[in-house]
Amino acid sequence: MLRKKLSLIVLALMLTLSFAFVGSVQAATEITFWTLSLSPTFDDYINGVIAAFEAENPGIKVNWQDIPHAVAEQRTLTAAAANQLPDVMNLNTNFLKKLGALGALVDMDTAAADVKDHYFPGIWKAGEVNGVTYALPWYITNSLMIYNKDLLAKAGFDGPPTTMEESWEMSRVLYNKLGVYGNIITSIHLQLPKEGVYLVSPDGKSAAINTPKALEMFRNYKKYYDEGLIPDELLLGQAKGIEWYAQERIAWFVTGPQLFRQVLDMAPDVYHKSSAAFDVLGSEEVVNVAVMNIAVASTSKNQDAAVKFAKFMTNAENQLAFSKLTAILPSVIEAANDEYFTAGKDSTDAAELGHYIAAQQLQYSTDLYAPVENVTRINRIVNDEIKRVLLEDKDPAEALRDAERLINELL
Amino acid sequence: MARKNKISRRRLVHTIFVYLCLTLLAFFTVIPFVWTLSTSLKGPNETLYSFPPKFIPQNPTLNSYKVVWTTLPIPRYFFNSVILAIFQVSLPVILCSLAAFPLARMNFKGKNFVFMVIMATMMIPGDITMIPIYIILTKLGLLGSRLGVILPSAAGAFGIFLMRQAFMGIPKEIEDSAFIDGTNTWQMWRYIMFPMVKPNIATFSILRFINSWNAFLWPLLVFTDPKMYPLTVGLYNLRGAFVTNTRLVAAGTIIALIPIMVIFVVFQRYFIQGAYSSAVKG
Repeated sequence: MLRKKLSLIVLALMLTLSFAFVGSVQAATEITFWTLSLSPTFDDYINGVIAAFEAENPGIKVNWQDIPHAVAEQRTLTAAAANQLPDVMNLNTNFLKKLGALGALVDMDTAAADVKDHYFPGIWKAGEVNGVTYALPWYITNSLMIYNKDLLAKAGFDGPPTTMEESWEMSRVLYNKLGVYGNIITSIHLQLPKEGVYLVSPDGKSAAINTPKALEMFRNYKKYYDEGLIPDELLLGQAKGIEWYAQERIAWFVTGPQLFRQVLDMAPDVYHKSSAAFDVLGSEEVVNVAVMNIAVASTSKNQDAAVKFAKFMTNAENQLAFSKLTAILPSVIEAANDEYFTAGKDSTDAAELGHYIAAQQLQYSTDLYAPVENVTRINRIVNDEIKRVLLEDKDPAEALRDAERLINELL
Repeated sequence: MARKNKISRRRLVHTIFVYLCLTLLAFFTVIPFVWTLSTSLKGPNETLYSFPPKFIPQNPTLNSYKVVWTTLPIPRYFFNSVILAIFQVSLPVILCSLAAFPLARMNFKGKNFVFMVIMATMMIPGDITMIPIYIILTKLGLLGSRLGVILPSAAGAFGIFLMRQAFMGIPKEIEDSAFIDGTNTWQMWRYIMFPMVKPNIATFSILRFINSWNAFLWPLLVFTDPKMYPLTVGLYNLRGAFVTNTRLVAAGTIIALIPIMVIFVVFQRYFIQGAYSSAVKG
């Protein structure tokens, strides 16, 4: 009896050992790759790129996991606290800056110096914190205008606004004639840089917001608000601009072309009355660009393989293929020159035309977020101050002084 | 006669008022659900965010459900949810009632101290313990396993408190007569006490089931393999990075809701009963 038991144990041990042995033979370099909300829509694409990479680099195995965008911060921070960050991860710009400042990411200026000039310079900048770039830019979207042709025609206009002054002029007519809103103020931190008012100085050491131009803008916003041109619900974020657009309560809305389809989803008749146009450029002739980045964890045990994979994922060929699947733009210059992006030039469909315009806007695209760690809190300060000016009659000059002081405290 | 009439009229007004309030309450509770159901049945050419909202779809279609079913492995997610729910209900019920029994029916040194310490853990918000627990799981090598989801909630202060109150409500005479008949402590718990608190166990089970079924963040943190995701986490994939199809999300929500509705309807009797009994015995 005892012998039987013993032999069973020995057998079990041998089995485990043999598995361990097989495991150690297979254990080549394994890297983990996290993406944000790309599964299941892009399963085929991502798996295809991974398969191509593995075929090109025998001995490297990529494990892919997709994280819902809404909880990415919690997921990543928990993993970082437990030293469990994936080797390669897809991060949005705000969060990238936090992790970069913590020293959790690999310096790409050095690690990817050989491919740096493949990307648009204004977009490469997105990964910068205090002078170091911590990520490769991946897919990007910039914002352009979707507008309601019917509403503009009813108010007596034959096209969308092209300058800031014109846009407010048109908002006034729309509001007085039809009770419909035009310009809305949602992200003041993106409006100010368009007119040359940067929140933080270029070296990231001090606040740069308190300028005469900013004061003029704040005063103008107050004037428009008092005329009733700026709806409280959108200012306070209680309603979504895209939903208001679908309900024909605003005549134009500035957003990424990938979200135009959501109007089609919510209100097909409004979508068919819509067309696309350039975002109003402002005095600096720039538009903001939202960049998705790929970063490599500095705790990664296989940094070389991880950097190699990050470069592969963001190269021209793979980015172009990705752009063809959905309304996004590549961050690599070579991919953006493809004829695919000029196809929608004469389309009457808002999303197709928008796709063409978005690619045309790439030359104006810059990441307008301040290149500092606390950028999320700084943006909040500025937005809170403008709300105080509009809703609580705070003096614009005082609001700017307060914003300057609060930003300096964070730097 | 007149006096009696007056009273009944007052009572009538009172009843109408109460019913009006209850109807309003029911209306506002049910509206989001009805909207979700109607959205999930609407065809691609129908307006979703119209004002006032339209609840009856013009061209009702089950297409959204079909799309959800074919794009996501729903049966697998469902299976994962069920496995988690089984353990996240049975383990707390057994462990909490085992812990509650001595706290309710026995006398030993430091009993109150132990009870206070357990209760004190209720004051610590889950967000604070999240990262420490995550690190412990990593060290134990439980990251990515079902145990990692199940163990942290296998016993909790709330369950111990609930079961202790239930045990305290059983008359001492029953215990005494069982002792005279010669039961030991284990038999006392297993054959006398445990069967007597069934309504409370039902209440606790339903609460645990709802918690387990709706859990989102913790399973997402622990699981590294998407094949292990429960329904809530898996269905979240319907919210894509670029376009969220509201109809699909609505259909997914309804799919996830069905099991919980079934459970509630089946166990409704125990639920109300349990809620009563635990209130009276407090």
